[in-house]
Amino acid sequence: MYRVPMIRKELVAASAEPLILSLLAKGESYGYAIIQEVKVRSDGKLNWTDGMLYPVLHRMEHRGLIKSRWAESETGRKRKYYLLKKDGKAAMARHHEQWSLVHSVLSGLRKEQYV
Amino acid sequence: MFDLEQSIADWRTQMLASGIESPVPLEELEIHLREEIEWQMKSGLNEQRAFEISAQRFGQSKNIELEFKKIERTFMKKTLMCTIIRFLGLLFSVWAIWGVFIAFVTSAQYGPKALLLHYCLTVTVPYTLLAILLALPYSKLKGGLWKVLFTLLCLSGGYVCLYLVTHLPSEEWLMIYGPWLLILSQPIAIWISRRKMSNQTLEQMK
Repeated sequence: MYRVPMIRKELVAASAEPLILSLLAKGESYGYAIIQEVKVRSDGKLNWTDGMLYPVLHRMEHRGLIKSRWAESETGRKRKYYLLKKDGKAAMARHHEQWSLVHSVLSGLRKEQYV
Repeated sequence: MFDLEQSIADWRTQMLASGIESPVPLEELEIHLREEIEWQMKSGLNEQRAFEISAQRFGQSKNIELEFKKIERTFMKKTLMCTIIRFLGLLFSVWAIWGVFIAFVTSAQYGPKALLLHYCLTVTVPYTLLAILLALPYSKLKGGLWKVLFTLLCLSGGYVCLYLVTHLPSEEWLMIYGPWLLILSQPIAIWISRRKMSNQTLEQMK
C-alpha cells in the first residue's frame, strides 16, 4: 500500500499560518490543542516541533491577525487562548485562494500526465 | 529517583539561559510542556520517559529563542516607525496651525497674499517630501495604491492653496478657506501614511 511520507519541513513551515488561521476560524483555541488537532487531521504526517508553534502564534498576534486572552480551563489550568481577528480572516481568505491555485495547477498537470 | 518538578525547573532554566526572558512566552511554553507530559503519562509512559519525550518534542531552546527574537525586532521596528511618523505628523500640524495664526496676525502689515504664498510653500514642500518618503515604498502592495493616491491627493491640498493664492483675486475668500484646507488635508495625509504601517501592510512586506 502506498504511504504518504512525512511532509517536508519547508512545506510544514509554509502551511503553519494558513492552518492556524483556519483552525481558529472554527473558534478560539490554545497552542497545545492546535498542535494536537493538526496532528490528528494530518494523520500524524504534519509534524510540528511543539516549541516552534509559539513564535508563529506570537508573530501572528503582533501582525494583528489573531489576539489572545488568558483563561482557566475546566480543569483549572491556566491557558492562553487565541482568537481570530478581522485581519486574520482576510489573511485566511488570501491563503485559501493561493493554496487553491497551487493545488489546481498541480492537479491539472497531474491529470495531463495520465491522459 | 526522578523528580518531575525539578526536571521542569531545569528545563525552564535552560530556556532562560537560551534567552527567552519574557515571562509570557516562557509560562505559555511551560504550560504546553506540562500538558504534553500529562498526555504521555496517560498513554502509559512513566514520569521520566514522558518528560524526556515531551522536552524532545519541544525542540532546541536556541531555535525557539531565535524565532522570538525575530518577532521582537520586527515589532520594535514597527513601533519606532509609527512613533516617528506620529511625531512628524504632530510637528507639521502644529507648524501649520502656527503659520496660519502668524499669517492672520501680520496680514495687515505685509498683505495676505504674500504671506499665504510663503506659508503654503514652507508647509507644503516638507509635507510632500514626507508623503513621498512614506508612501512610495508601499505603492506596490496589494490595495496600497489607492491609499498612496489618496495620500498624495490630500497633500496636494497645499498646492491647491498655492494655486488659488496666485490665480484668484478674492483674497478674503482665501484667507477664510485656504488655511483650513491646509490644516485639515495635510494631517489627514499624515494619518493615512501612518495607517500604511498597519499590520496588514507589514504582513505583505514579509
